[in-house]
Amino acid sequence: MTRRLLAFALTLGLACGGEAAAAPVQIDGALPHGGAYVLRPDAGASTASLALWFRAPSDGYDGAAPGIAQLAAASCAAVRLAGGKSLADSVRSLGGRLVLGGEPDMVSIDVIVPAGSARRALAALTSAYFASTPDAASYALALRDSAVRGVERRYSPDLAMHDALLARMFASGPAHVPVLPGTADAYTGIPLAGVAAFAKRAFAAPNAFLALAGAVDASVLDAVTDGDPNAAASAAPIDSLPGPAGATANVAGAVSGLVYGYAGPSIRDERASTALDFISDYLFDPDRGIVSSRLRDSETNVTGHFLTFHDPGVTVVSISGGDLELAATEVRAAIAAMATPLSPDAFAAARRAFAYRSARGWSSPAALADDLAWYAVQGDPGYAPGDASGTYARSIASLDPAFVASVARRYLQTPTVVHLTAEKGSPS
Amino acid sequence: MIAAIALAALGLAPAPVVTRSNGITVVAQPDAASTLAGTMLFVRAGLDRQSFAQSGLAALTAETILQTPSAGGLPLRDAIADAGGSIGYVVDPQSVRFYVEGLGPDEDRLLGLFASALHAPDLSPATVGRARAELDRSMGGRSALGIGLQMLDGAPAAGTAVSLAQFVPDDVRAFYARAYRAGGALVSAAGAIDPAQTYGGLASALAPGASTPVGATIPPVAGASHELIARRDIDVPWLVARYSAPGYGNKDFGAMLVLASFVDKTLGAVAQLPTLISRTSADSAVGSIYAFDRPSSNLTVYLYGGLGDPSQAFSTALGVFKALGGAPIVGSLDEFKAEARGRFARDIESLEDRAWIAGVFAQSGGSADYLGRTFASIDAVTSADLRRVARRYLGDPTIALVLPRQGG
Repeated sequence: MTRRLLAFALTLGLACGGEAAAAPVQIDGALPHGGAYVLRPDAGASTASLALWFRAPSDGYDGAAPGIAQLAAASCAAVRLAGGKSLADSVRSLGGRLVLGGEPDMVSIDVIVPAGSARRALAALTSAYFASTPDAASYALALRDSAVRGVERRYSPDLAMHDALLARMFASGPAHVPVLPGTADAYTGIPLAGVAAFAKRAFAAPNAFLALAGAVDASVLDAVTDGDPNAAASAAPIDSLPGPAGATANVAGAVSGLVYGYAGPSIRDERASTALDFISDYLFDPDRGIVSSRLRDSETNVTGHFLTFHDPGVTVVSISGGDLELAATEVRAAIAAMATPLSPDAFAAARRAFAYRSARGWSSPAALADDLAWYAVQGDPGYAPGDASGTYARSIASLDPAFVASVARRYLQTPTVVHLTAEKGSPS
Repeated sequence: MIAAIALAALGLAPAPVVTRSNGITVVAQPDAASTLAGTMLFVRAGLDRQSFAQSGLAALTAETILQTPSAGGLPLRDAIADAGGSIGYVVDPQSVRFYVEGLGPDEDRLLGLFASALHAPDLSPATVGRARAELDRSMGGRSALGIGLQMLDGAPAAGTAVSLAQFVPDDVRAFYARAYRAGGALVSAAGAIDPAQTYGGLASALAPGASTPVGATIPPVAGASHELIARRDIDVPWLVARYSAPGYGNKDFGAMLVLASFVDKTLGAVAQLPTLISRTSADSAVGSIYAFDRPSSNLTVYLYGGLGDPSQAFSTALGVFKALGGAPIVGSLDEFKAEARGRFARDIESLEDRAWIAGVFAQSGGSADYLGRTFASIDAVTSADLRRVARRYLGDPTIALVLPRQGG
């Protein structure tokens, strides 16, 4: 167990050019039978957020069952635990929220409960994943919910484009298929036995990363269920194999849009990753981004993010609504312009704005817990923007115009492009 | 001290500290775990300071302050962004509330920029024109649900393009001179703040004295006979219904929070939302909004037609709500109470919401301990309370229908 205090206070002050701020407390440690946790108490918070994340391929360990990870996660949430209630029931009875999610290489289970309820929620959460086995009843409930979520994902422009892009950028591996298939048939083809076997391996305690934030303190850790002492060890980060860059594809879907994807650095190249975060913020922040501002009066919605995956990271720019080609021209021009260094004054203002918006991005307990869990699963927990070590803040402070431009020249040159076209009968 | 220990035992946040300083009320929630500092200024310059003929003037005045040239000649909003922060405002029935946020060490500098513009806004035709253009632009982004809510409000808080076009800088000057006063002003700050900060810069930016509400304001729409219909270029209809409701200082506040949870669950059931997980994209298409912070407090429920023909489901749900006054609630009262606690807690997760809710509670004159007070009021609710409050409030709502322009 370690406590990180001073480093964060000093680097935050350094990044924003002011005096050092008061330091948040962070406690890192190991779970009883493997796995890791990080605790960030906030006595002022009205909620407690518990993020239990696992490294696991979304399409199964043999790559043959797209959707199995989410189906297994939902099945465990529906299993009746020792007290007679499932995790979903327990969270509901506490007035909380249960959110399942994931990426090709990981599964996320987030629970948000009002202050005062973290202990009971944590007991139910860890029991459901460390010490339960999906059964026929929980499997049936999970099939329904997963199918609904899969259909919803197809109709969400950003998520549909995200899935379509990754499927073209990666030649093989879990990123090549959707995290949540969009048809019910895809789930009914996965048998209960397969779901149970997947859950036993993927949701073993040694493979878990638990982030607790908000109205929590160290005493709640007593509520963690031990799990199986003989469970499989932690999995290594799961990477998919990139295909050749520069491909263009036309894909039929439930929604229309245009999406660009650029393969980036691995998470280990922290400075380059931070530079791509900076560029995404500078161009695509919804309120202040250069591209967002230029397209503000149009009916087009543009989003842009650098996804800090283990290897490689991916810059995703999605365009939907309005005149897609006109917006695409703006996007390409703005990205091309980043290859030239910004003026010192413009860069300094943009970096200050980025430092603030980055901190705002993990300022709620739920966002902080997700932030800490994401970077832990991707293999670099100390680099999480919200981590108390201040590594990310130092990385922001290290950026300069020439370096940012060099990163743009290296990583934002040759996109994979996917045109998503709504099938007849789907809303555009 | 004893109260603080009791709150800690419950796992609840310590109560905000309320003081008077420089003629204004200051509410402080220092939080060592936060890297951000957020400061909200409530000024009694809201909708009740504008007459029916002045629809949009309160918003135009607030926006003019944000468009006032600041550091480097940039409009205040841009200057604050470049300095590493953000500023925004909301026009409420009684107040306009500005919110400034930044990294803790930057907050004083950001507030200094804001105080300068607040004290001496640029009321030139060019700046007022920019403010009007900004409001016009924001109207274009209103969602169908937002249109429904505005129909029930009686008029949009930011006015209309027509009403805004009629204002000249002298109108803004007169409104500013009359309403931007220290009387009734309140600062609510949260996060990485200095607990000893007195916010004298903001207080002195406002003229002394107080304004009074105008005699004839825009009344909210109410009454069972109202069914408002608008047609817009949308694919599917939105159905919105509004009930009057008790405010946060009312003895029925806790019961209405619990009823709102029941309402949400019922709407989720008629919309056939997934039962395991809690949040899906469908969630935003159905739900309720309990606006308890205003004189005409209300509970609004809404349903999106993309989930199928919504009229029968909506009618069923409204019928269930109406029947609540005469029958015991179906389901566990304890679970509805827990959901009410959770819903309230989730709605105040952000620093801005923490500043807002503390300011709202402090304005009542009582304790600003919003979490402790609200949880206690929820815990005290009985089944009889629910029936009584349902009978009183959940009768016939006013309904707004936002329908597709074609084929409707």
